[in-house]
Amino acid sequence: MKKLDSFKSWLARLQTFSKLIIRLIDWALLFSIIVVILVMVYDFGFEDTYRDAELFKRFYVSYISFYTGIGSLRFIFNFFHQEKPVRQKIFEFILLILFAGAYELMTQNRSQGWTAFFYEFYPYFVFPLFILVFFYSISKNAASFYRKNMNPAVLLVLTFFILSGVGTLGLLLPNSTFDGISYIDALFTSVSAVCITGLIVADTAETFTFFGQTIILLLMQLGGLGVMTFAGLLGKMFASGVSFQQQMILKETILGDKLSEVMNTIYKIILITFLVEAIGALGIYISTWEYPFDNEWHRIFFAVFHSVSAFCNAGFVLAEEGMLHPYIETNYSFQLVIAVLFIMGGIGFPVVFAFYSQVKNFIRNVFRKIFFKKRFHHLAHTLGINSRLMIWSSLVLTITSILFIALFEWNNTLSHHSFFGKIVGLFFTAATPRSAGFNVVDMTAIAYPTAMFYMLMMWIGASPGGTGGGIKTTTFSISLLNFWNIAKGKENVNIFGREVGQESLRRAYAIISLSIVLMGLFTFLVYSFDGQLALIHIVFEVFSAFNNCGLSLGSSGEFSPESKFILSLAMFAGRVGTLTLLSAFLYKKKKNNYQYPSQEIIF
Amino acid sequence: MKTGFYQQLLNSTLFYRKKIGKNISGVILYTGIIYFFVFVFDLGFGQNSEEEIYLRTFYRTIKWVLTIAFAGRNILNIFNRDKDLKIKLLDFGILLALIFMIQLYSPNSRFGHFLEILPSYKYLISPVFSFIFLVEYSRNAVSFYSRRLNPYLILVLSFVAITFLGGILLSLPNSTYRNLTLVDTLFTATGAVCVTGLTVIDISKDLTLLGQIIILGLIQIGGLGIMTFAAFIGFMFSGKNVSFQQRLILRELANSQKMNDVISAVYKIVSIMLLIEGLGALMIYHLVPGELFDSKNDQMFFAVFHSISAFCNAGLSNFPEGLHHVDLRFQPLLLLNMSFLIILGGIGFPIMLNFYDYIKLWLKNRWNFVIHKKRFLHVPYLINLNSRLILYVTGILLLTGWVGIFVFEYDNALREFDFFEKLAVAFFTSTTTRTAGFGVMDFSIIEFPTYILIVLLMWIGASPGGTGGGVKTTTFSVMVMNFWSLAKGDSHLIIQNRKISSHSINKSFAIVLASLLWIGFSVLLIIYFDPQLTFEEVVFESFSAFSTAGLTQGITKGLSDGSKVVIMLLMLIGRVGSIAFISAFIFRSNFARVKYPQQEIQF
Repeated sequence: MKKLDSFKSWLARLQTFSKLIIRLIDWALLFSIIVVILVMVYDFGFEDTYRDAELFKRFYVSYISFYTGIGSLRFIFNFFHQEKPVRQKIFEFILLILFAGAYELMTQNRSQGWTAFFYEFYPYFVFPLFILVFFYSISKNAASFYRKNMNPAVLLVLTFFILSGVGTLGLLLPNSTFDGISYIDALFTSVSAVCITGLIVADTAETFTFFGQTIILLLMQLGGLGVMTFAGLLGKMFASGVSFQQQMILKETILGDKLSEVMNTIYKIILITFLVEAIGALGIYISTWEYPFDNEWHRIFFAVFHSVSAFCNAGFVLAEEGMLHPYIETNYSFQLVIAVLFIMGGIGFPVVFAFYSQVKNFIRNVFRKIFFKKRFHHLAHTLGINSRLMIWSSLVLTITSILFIALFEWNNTLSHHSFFGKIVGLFFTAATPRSAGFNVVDMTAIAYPTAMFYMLMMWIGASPGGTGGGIKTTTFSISLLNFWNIAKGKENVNIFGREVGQESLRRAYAIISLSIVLMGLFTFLVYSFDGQLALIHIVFEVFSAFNNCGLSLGSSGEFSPESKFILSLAMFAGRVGTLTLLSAFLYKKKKNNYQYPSQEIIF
Repeated sequence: MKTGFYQQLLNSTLFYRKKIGKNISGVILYTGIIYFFVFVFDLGFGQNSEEEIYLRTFYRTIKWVLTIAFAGRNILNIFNRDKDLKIKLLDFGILLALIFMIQLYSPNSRFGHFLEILPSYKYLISPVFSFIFLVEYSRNAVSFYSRRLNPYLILVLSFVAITFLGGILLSLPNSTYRNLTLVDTLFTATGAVCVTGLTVIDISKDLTLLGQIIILGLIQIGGLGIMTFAAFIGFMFSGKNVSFQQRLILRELANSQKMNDVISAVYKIVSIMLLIEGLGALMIYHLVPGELFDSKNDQMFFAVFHSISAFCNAGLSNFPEGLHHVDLRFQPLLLLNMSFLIILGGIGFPIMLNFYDYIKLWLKNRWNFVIHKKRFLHVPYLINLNSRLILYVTGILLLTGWVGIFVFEYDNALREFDFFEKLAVAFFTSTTTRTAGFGVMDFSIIEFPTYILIVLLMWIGASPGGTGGGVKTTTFSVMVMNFWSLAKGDSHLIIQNRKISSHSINKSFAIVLASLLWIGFSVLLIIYFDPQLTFEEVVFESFSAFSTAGLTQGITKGLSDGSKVVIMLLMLIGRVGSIAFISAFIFRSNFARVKYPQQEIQF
């Protein structure tokens, strides 16, 4: 008995000690990976010859050995901590193995076989690994941020701000562009990518090198993931404002599971994002099989870039004239893949997740049936009120768009397509303003009413929890419902057998009014700098920027630097959300123990 | 016992008395309808002498019918104890007037020399007849409205009916100098009834005096109708199944708790209105240079027309080019006088009544203190939240508009004025945007900042319960306070130590959303019908029409018929309010049989 006690105290002491060690190691890893990333950026951004290639390689190898060594140490110490999730340990173990493998491959000079290929092109394999480690370390520390009582609004704003800044610096590197780029254009492109908007002032295919395009790709991916995860987080913060009792009644928060599983949710989001993007990339790869790329890498990169761009609702295209490039304009299967991807990205993560669970379940069932002759096991429908609202709104909006655009564009911008092409073009054109930003029709030739309609659709935007922008479909639908209710003289706004909370209505109101106020302000500012442009073009551009859509009537390139800066601000404000932005400055958690008498206002 | 017998007699004849009373009012109502058509025919077309004789006979017949009917009614009144004494007196007065008229026109009249002063007998009998029928109709209207009809439908229909009536009256040959199309006359009538002030014709050149009087009548009905209707709708609400809450809203509107008080509020409103308009006309008469007019009568008519047009926030003028005329726009005092009329009309009657009470109490306290040495009687919260809100917001908006227009247009649209005139014109323009619509400045050359400012001010509009349009100052302030308090993290919307009820917030939300959607939709349609117009002009026009302001950048006259209809609809919706407009066509239900669990929505 005594022996056991002493063992326990010894273990506890060891645990405190190992905790300290682990923390030290974590800091060392974080610091080292930041250094490595900086070196990497220098390596890629400034060196056009492989003058010092050997030196850099030696540096990387030493880092890899450093990581492998110190990481293993950490791994061992981690064993004393039962409370750490197993998944995390497994992930770290896999990282270690990958690093060890990389070390092995990089240090042995072979002249043939696939290892030689690796030896030659090691950056393509090693750098993603570094970036993975980088984000892993960052996110671990970010997680401790969340645990602290930091205002999530400030965090979101900061994250996007830092990302945009880093992206700007990255795009300004000499190796990112062929002929250099102005500061404001770099900023604009970076913000556009991080805010997954897709407005461009410099042609992505023509201006940026492969490296620059990779940076854009990364920025889009990070922006997209950031939006999805933050939306979930903020949503939970918001949802936790309700009392425990109410939670028990509702049971359904943002993703249909318990509040504590924030991190789990984030993993899920990332996993599903990569999965969908991989499948999308495969689809694009197949549909662009006949295109004359320089080499296979370019083809793969093209596929990945567009898959990410589409799923994140960014709208960056690696072709001159965007999707109007002669190759792409009639490649309907490519367009379909893109459309499906951006709809998936925009429909909202809860919906995608429900879809994913159903598909997973189906595959598992089929597998069981074939191999174990087991009966089908059905999954209950997991869609909550929010998801159902998202699906219905998206459906109604898309159908309305299709009808409207068919009316005005069938014989206008869609006239030169075949019938099948027209159908695909119609579908694509109807879905893209919310808020993907790819255009398969010539935006400079669309009818005036279509432009107006596009503005409405851009404003409504995609569903929450997805990668799209705008005020969100849920906001719009409950605001319409509210109007209908007031007109009917009803007291409460009910939907699918639930009463919409007053807080939700207030937020919807704030979101809508702020969006209008800010878009008015931005239009005003842009117009004062670029009064020579037609107002409709400016308004369209501002709507597109603020709602993170990325469609343009063709005047993005003509703006003055001041206007570009304002549009960047608009994209930023639209992305982080105006209410979030405002509350980042104003938010003060306070509790009043008194209530004022209620008062009706006359209107 | 004698009284008992008398009572018995009364009781036994009750049924017959009621029946006779009903028949009498039936006779008066039907005579009224016939009289109206004949009167319109009489006014609108030139008559030859033969027709003139028929008309004379007709009028004499009506006179006799009315006299008999009112004599009968007065006899019935003697026995009717339930009837209000005021109404009895009114009936008696009408009877006296009718007898007097019969005396007046009898061949051997003692008052014959009076007739020589009057140019035509019609000038005397038509106002008397019109008054009698108006009283009769409004009395019956009360019972008509008391039925379980959708009050909003009545509101909308009455606007439509008056508009059509006005359109028909304006189409009469005697109303116009040139033939106008039906769309044009309807547009003009809508503009007048909805007190907008947009016009496709030149009132001073295209309309005769009769036409101008019709316009004036329409403006007055439009201005008055809205307020009385507000009271009437309140009347509806005080039926049997009203919630306590609605009663409170009504109390807020009319500042009274009983139905009688609402009616007396309506009387107060009408008398305040006539008083202000009378004073305004007097001022205008003295401020306007006399040499502009052919006769004193013209000058007087000008004064009355502009006083009513300004107080009702209509913005129509019967002068060539309106107030922009070179002899009028350099009259700062005239403009100031008009500004005050506009502000008084736009500030709303609830607040006027509120202040009326306040001043009355203050005077009473003074009186009691000085004469009776009594202590001050303090009534808490006499100036209620609505009044405070309206005062603050109106003040802020007026000031913003004044300073903004003065600064931005100093060297542009205000170039031709000297410093003090600039101040006056800027102030006038600031008031006229909310939402009178007199144009002194040239709105087609304004700078973009002014443009945005004016559009914003028009959209916000005047205060509730007044003659102006727009989404209303209270709506706007609730909108701004809502996002501000949400960003601050407050759990309730608190203004001036009062919690704003969720119903008020939702209603304000509905109003804002609907206004934006209507305006957007109209812009889309107008752009479709008139693609030659620029976006600025169309947006300005649409905001102006919806807010019933009536400012224009000069495109109204060139609109196609389709656009005119769109603008007309927009004016109507803006006037009756989007919520009322929708409520008119759907079944309203106040019953909530179920209460669902609450659910917050994700954005």
